[in-house]
Amino acid sequence: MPGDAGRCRGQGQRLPLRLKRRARAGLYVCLGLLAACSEPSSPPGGAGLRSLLIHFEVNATPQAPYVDLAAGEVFFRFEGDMVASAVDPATGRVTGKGSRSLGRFGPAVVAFRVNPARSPTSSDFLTFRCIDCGIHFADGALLRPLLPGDATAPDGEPLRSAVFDIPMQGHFLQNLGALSPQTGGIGFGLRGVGCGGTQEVMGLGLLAGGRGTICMNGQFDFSSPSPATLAQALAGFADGGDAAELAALLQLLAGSLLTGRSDCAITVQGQRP
Amino acid sequence: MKRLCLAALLLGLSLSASAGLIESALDILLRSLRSFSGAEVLKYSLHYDLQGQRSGSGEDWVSWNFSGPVRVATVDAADAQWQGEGPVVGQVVGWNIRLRVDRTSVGLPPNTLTDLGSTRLRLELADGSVLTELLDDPATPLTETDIPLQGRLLFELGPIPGGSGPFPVRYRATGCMGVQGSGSGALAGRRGALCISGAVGFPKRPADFAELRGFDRAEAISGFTLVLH
Repeated sequence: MPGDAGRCRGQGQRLPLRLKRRARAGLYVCLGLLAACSEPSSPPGGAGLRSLLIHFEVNATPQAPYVDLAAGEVFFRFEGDMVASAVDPATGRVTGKGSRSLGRFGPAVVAFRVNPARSPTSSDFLTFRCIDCGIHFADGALLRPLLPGDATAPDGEPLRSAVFDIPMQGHFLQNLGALSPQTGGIGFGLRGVGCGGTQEVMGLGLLAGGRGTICMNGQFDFSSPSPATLAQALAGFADGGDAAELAALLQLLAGSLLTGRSDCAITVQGQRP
Repeated sequence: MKRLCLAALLLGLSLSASAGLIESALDILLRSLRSFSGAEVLKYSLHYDLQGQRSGSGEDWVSWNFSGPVRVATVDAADAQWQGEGPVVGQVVGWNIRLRVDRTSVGLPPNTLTDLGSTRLRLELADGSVLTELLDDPATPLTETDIPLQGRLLFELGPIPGGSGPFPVRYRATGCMGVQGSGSGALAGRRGALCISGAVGFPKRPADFAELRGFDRAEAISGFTLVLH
């Protein structure tokens, strides 16, 4: 497009009649190109949707009540930076991340749940859900989960709709094996994926007033425990874990030093001021 | 006679597995954790625009076979806006998507209990990679790695505004599934996950599920991320 824009320069200068006609024709071509260029590209889900692909990197800290043995859950609070994902426009390969901060991902209170009734080779063995997650964009937008029962709103936020129930359905993909940590440091990574409902509650920014989904497709990096220790804990579930083995795995997870990172698709529809 | 041979074969495989002669998916997982090597993670941002033909239906389900092009989904570096109009880099062929609804829910769109399942995914990329599903094979005695599509069609969000063309009524669809790569491209021999974040379109707004399952054709449009290692 820079070449086309360059052809339009100098049309306001005095020109012979023949050249004026050509200039006028050129002007129409330029206006057409401008109109075509200003027309927004369609988001991946089609017209009527607004979509972002962000990259977040978050650190986890233990969160009360830490471990719930009865529910088979451990709790963490995640928080960190987010930027745009960087994509090669020719191949679609995600080559890295942008440099401009888009805001703050989190705090997000997340529960990891072990289901001893499922094999460790199943993606339902170790799942995660979002209990109270916020995503703060620099343009003022604030994303919250689409969950029922929001009788009260956090300070400074409007009351959220309570008619939706689209919880995060997150899955660890430990069955894909361990990865090197993306941090390049010690430890190992496990893949994690999941989608859930989200809504913009402040009426601000690119996603203002929209309701939709958030999908992560990333990994959790563990500095501790060691992969061998985790393997030992998982081996106890080969024939279905007992209460002691479940408690041991939960305690192991609760003591983890971990970070998370993911490219994350956010797609909403509806109100925009 | 053939049945007897098959039963003997299955019994043999089962005994071999129990005796540790065949490495189970759990063994592979544990070995991976105990001694893993740094595999490169490949990530893609793509978009599909598929046309579907109904392939079956029942009281609480309907399925379509979807095929169509896969394009690059680009990202604006300034604000992360995701756009789906890049060059074509692949093709989906005969992907069977099944929508199941909980019949205890009443009508549409208040029905929030939906389940999108998938069989026969075949995503052919221009570099020669072919992606298919990563599922347990019930025909074998072993437990394979099992990461089925766990998707939802979100009627509760209502139709997406601004629909036009032959499928003007679109509802949001979302979910993730395991995939494995074969063929000759960059993703051959790798395993990972595909997460969709898009919509399924219908010819008109269905009054109820009985009407929806009667639609012969549908479309599926979505941006999706692919991460494999």
